[in-house]
Amino acid sequence: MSEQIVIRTLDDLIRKFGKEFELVVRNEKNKRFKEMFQIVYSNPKADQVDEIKNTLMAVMKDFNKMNHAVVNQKEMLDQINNSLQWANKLNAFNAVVGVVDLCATVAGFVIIANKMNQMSVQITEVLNTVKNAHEDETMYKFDKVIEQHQYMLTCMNDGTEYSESKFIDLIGEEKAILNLLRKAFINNTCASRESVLQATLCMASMLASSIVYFDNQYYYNHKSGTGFYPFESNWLSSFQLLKEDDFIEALEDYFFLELKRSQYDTDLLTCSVIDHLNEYEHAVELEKSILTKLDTLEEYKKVKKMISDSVNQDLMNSIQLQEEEHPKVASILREAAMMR
Amino acid sequence: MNVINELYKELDEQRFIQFRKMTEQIIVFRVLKDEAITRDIFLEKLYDYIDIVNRENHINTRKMEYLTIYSKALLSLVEKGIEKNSRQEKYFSRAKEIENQLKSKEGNKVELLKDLTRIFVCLYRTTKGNTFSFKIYEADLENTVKMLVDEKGDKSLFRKEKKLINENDRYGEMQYVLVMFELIFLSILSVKPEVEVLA
Repeated sequence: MSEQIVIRTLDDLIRKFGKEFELVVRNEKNKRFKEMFQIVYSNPKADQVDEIKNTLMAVMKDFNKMNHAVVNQKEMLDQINNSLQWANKLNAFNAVVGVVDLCATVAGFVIIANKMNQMSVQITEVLNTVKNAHEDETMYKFDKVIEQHQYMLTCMNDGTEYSESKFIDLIGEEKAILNLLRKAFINNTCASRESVLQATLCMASMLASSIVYFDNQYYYNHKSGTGFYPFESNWLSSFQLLKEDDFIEALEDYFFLELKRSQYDTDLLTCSVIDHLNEYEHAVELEKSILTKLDTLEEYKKVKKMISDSVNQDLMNSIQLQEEEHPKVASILREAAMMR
Repeated sequence: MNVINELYKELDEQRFIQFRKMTEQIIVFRVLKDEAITRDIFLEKLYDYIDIVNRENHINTRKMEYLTIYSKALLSLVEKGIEKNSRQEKYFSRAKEIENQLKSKEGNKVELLKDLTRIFVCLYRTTKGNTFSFKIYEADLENTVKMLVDEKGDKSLFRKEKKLINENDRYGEMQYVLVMFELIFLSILSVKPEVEVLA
C-alpha cells in the first residue's frame, strides 16, 4: 500500500491528481480489487451542484465504509461543502465575468465604431476643406478672368483698342481655366459640382465669344496670309475635350448618381450641356464663315448691324403680336430685347 | 397594372411593332389576323397573359410583387461580376436603392423600372467583357435578349444544367421577366433624347 495522502480541499485533490483520475477500491479483508471509479472534475453549474454533492457523498460513504478513507467523513464533508460553496460562487463569478466579457466586447466594438465614425467625419471634413480650398482657388481664377473678359467687352463696345497680344493672353487664360474646371468636375475635386458645371459652361461661352472678337480683329489685319490665327484650332480643342467620354461620364454620374435624377432626365441634362457646347463651337465657325465672305472690316460691320437690326425688328414685331394675347410672353421678349 | 399600361402607352409605332414581333411566341393570337390587331387589342391580350402568369406563379398584384420579382431576377444576373470600387459598383448600389424604392409605396414606378432596366443593361454588357458605359444603344435590346435566352440556370451535382428561361413555358416567371424587360427597354428607346454624342 502506498503512502497516506491528506486531502483537505478540492483544490488539493485536483493539484495532486488533476481533473481526471481513477479511484481503485480494494476489499478490506483480502485486499483484492473490488471496484474502480473514474473521477472527472468539471466546473459545476448551479443546478448540477446538488447532484454532484450527492454523488460525492455517495462515493465518500462507500469510501468510508470500506475503511479506505484518508480523512474522516465529517471533515471531508465540511471540505466538500466549502468547496461546493466556492464552486457555486465561482460559477456565479464566471457567469458575471462572461457577461462582463460580452459587454467588453460590445463596448469595445461600439468604442471602435465610434472612433471609426469620428475618423470618417474628420477625413470627410479634411476632404471637404481641401475641396473647398481647391474650388475657392479655381473660382478666384475664374472671377479674375471674368474681370479681364468684361474689360475686353467694354473695349469692344467703346471702340477702345484691345491688342491682339492681349486677346491671345485672355483666350489662353480662359482656355486654362476651362480645362481646370473640366478636371475639377471630372475628378470631383470641388465641394459643389453644380457651381463648377455652371462655371464650365459660362467659361466655354466666354471663350467662344473671345475667339469671335479676336477673329474679327485678326482676320482683316492678316488677310494676306491664312487670315486666321494659326493656333486657333488649339483653342477650339477645348470644346472637343468637353465632349470626350470622361466629361460625359462625369456628367452622367453627377446627374444620375449624385442628383438621383432618372435615366431620362440624365440623358436630357447631358444632352443639354452638349447642345450648349455645340452652340458655342458653331458660333465660332459661323463667324469665321461670315468673315471669309466679306472683304473689308467696314463691310463686315455693316452686315453685322443689318443682322442685329433685323433681329431687333423681329423681336419688336413679336412683342406687338403677343402684347394683347400673351402679355407675359411679351414681357419676356421685351426683356430679351433690352439685353441685346 | 397601371405601370404596364403607362409603359405600353409610351411605345412609339416602330417600337410597338418591334414589341409585338419579339413577343409573338408568348402573346399568341389564334383568330385575329395581323392587320386586325390594334394597340388596344394587343394591350388587352397582354393583360390576359399577365393575369395568367400572376395566377400560375401566385404573384400578388395588389402588393405589386411582380416588380420585386423583376428587379430581383435582373440584379441576380449581374451582382457576381461587379468589381470593387469601380464605376459599375456605384451604379449597382443605385440599382439596389431602386430595388428598395420599388418595394415601397412611394416613387414613380415607371421611371424606377426604366432606371433599373438601364443599369441592368449596362452592367450585363460588362459581365460579357465590355467596358462599363451608361449609354444605351438600339442594338443592346437584341443582344441582351439573346444573351438572356442563352443564360444557364443554377447547376448542381445532381441537377442537369438548364436554361434560365424555359422557352416552352410561356407562363414561367423568367419568361414573364423577359417580356417586361422588352417592354421597358422599348419604352426607354421610344422617349430617348436624340443627340449625336449619346446615339
